[in-house]
Amino acid sequence: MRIAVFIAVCAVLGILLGIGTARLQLGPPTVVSLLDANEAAGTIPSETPTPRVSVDSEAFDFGTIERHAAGNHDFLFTNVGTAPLRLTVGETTCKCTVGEAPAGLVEPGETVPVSLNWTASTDEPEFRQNATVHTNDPLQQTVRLTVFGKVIEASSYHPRTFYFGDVPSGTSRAAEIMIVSSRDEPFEITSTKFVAPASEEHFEVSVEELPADDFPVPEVRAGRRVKVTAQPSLPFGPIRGALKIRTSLDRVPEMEVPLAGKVVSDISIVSSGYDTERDRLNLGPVRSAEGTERTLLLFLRGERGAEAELTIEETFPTFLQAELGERGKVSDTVQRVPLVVRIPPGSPPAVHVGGQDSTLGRIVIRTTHPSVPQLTIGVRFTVE
Amino acid sequence: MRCFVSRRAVAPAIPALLLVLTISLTGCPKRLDVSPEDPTPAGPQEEPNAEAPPAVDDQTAMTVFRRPIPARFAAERSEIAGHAGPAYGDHEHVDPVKANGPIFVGWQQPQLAILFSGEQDGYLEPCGCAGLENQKGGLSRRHTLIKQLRDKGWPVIALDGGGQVKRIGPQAEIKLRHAMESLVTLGYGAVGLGPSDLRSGMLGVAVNLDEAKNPLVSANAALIDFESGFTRRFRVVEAGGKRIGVTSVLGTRQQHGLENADAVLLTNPADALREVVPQLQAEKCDLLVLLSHASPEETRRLATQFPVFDFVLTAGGAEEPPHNTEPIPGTKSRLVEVGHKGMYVAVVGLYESGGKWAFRFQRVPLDSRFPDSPEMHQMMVDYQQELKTVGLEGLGLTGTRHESGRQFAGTKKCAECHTEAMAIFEETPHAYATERLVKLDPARHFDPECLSCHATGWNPQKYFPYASGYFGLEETPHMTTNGCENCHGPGSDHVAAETGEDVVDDAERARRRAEMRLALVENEGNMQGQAFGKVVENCMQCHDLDNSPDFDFQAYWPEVEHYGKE
Repeated sequence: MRIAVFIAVCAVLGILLGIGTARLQLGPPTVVSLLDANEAAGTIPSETPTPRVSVDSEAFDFGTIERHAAGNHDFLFTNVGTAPLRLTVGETTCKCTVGEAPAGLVEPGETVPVSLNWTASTDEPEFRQNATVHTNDPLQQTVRLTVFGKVIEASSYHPRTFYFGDVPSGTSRAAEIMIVSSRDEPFEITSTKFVAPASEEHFEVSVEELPADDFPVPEVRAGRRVKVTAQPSLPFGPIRGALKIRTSLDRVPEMEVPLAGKVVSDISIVSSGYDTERDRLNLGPVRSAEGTERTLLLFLRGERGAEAELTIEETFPTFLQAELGERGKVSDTVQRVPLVVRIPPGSPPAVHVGGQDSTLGRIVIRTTHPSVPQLTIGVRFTVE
Repeated sequence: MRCFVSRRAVAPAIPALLLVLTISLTGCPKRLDVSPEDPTPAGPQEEPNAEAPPAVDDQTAMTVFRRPIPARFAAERSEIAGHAGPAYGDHEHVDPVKANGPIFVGWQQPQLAILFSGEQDGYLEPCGCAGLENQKGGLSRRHTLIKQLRDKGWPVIALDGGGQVKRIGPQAEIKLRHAMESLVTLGYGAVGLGPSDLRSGMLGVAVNLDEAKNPLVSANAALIDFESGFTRRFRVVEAGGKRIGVTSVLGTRQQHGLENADAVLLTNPADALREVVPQLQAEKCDLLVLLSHASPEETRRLATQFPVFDFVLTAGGAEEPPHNTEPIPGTKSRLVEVGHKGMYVAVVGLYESGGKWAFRFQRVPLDSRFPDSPEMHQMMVDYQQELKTVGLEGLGLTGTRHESGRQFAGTKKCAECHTEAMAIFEETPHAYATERLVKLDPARHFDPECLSCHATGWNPQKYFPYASGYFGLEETPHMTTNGCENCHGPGSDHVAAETGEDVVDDAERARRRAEMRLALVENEGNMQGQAFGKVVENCMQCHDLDNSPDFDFQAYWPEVEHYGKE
């Protein structure tokens, strides 16, 4: 009888202990975040001498740091256990972050610093890195230390490109960037210089002070707006080059900000896989059994573009299909017409890649636009 | 039969055994082993280098070192020469699970898993290329993770905050299309828009997406307009019998520079949410998610202003994301960050009980524990093939005049006189940098982002060739390798003075020689406490944090060290 009672008591104790450890690992059914696996390890009888680690704080907010500057912080580790504690700095999430723990054991009751040194080597406005400290605390074998904060720079600019988009030929268009500084001193733009093929012939630069209301982040103390205006004289084709900008800020290198965009005619083509440099659509290798289809958008700009009628005059080879869709609106001054290009399933093997060995495929579109009477689209493909 | 064990011994043993059995049976949750833990293969053993006594170069009064070449370079060179696939033998193999931690420890299968990603920033492959085993990220590993979770029976919804590319230009446009088509293949339910996506031909991509699979969503950014159908202002994604309402916004600061973007309509994010949130709520979804391509500050403000979302993904955080979500005060929302360059994704596992949701969060490093996905490998093949087809000219790369005004002569020209330095150079990875690209699968020697450091005569950080630099294996065979002039500058003037092609006096000849020399400063290096001189600054144009995270100049320099001319 006594044995039966004893067995029953043990079974109940076992069940309770089992549920307890399970809940520690999974967590109660409420909104909780992932528990560290170490926290689920259970308990150890108190009479066994055991090292136990306690950290003043596992995360350190350093506030702000200048980009590429170095920082350090001592995390205080205390042995709140009853046996010597061993600390070893393990992995860090970046070579820019290095940890150091004192050699030897930490006696019960003793507090030691574990140092983390970091360099804010990042392009981002925020910095966060981790270091893992391994311990011989059976209930917490790893401690994850985190340092985080904001990265500021003496000077930065945004956006990173003078982006003009698609500029209708014969028109002007401006693009601008903001240059800001977090130093407590005003600054000037001391020089600007175009990098070829951009030049003063086709671009104009103007600079104005950036009002405080337009400062992008609270750390900014001064700013300048730099505007580049593309002139109507800019020829057709891609906009390339850059603008070099120097400021009066000490130890701030010259900025080289690229120019990007295209000067386009009243009728242009928007499509993925369309080589605007050579007016060529690349369809790549096509399996005969599957065929392929790609939709391009013809953008018709201005009054003359809106009035232009389009018809497919020719496709080469003849099995290459092209179909114009319904006209739609892009904006008050731009319309769009879809052009579906198709190589139907069952098309014969063919090589149309251009160059010496084969002729490019083509689609010829006749238009009633006075300046763009015809559009010829090269189509590069093979059928296997 | 007589019992040899007494009752006194047996009696306490039975309950003890029962106790142990009971504890083990009730305290053992179902474990999900998602990540195969491959043992770290042993790397090549480095042999100590014995230094021979230096000889003195009378002409330049500098010492010239002759010493044995590290065996690992010889082994790697042999591997490159004979190997058709990837060869990354010069970096220490790392156990990814040990380095980056286990994942999903103790997780039971959730009723729903939401995978968050964002700000891939153009990294279709793991960040950097210096030893893919050591780097994180890439669509291939992301695809493998999603497949593994789905194969385990997890209902997975994949959501992306936007930012597939960061640069703009023809290569970015091609990359954007391949990235978007990949996200469709990966089964993404919703994808937001980043500013560079909108400047890189997203309309041309969206036009060709299957309407039923198009995941683009934004409350305040539209391609042409909100009625065009190329994007939606919100989406309802279903999985595991649950409906998740998702919308996205492009932040105020992120809209700067998009004023000239063709066929893009932008509105204020708060105004847009004011219109869209009631529509979302009318859908009676189980959970609501906001994908905010904005700074964390603006994201928190929007989440506070519209406290209806359960999870809010933000852009603009640190490169290294946190290990947990962050509660947004005054709301029920949890802020999620995934870092940059696609190195990490975040998985939220959701558990419903009694009408309430519990969740677990796992930051997932996309490291080499995840093998490559065949579909994404094919995507990379197609992408590289397209770059080859389009060619450098089609990518708008026609060669730019070098700022020095000089031209590149080619490493072989240097070798005609600098034989000792060349003997050292030829045994370093710089000497087969281009060959390495050719041997990769797929080959990468048509990719400007690879050529910029794996050929001679390119700007390493801006990915364009100089007019006299490398333009192809056939066109400019003398411009292969990461040659001498990438560090020392274009050498045509110096060569012309030495060969007599340019008739110059001694002073001019000396000046041209001096132009080519690099001088180390005391304690030059890139680690803390070292002097960041011009030489190491030059090295780090290619050995940057992305591509060479282990770079320590003072450790690397002895392996390429060379001086003057014997």
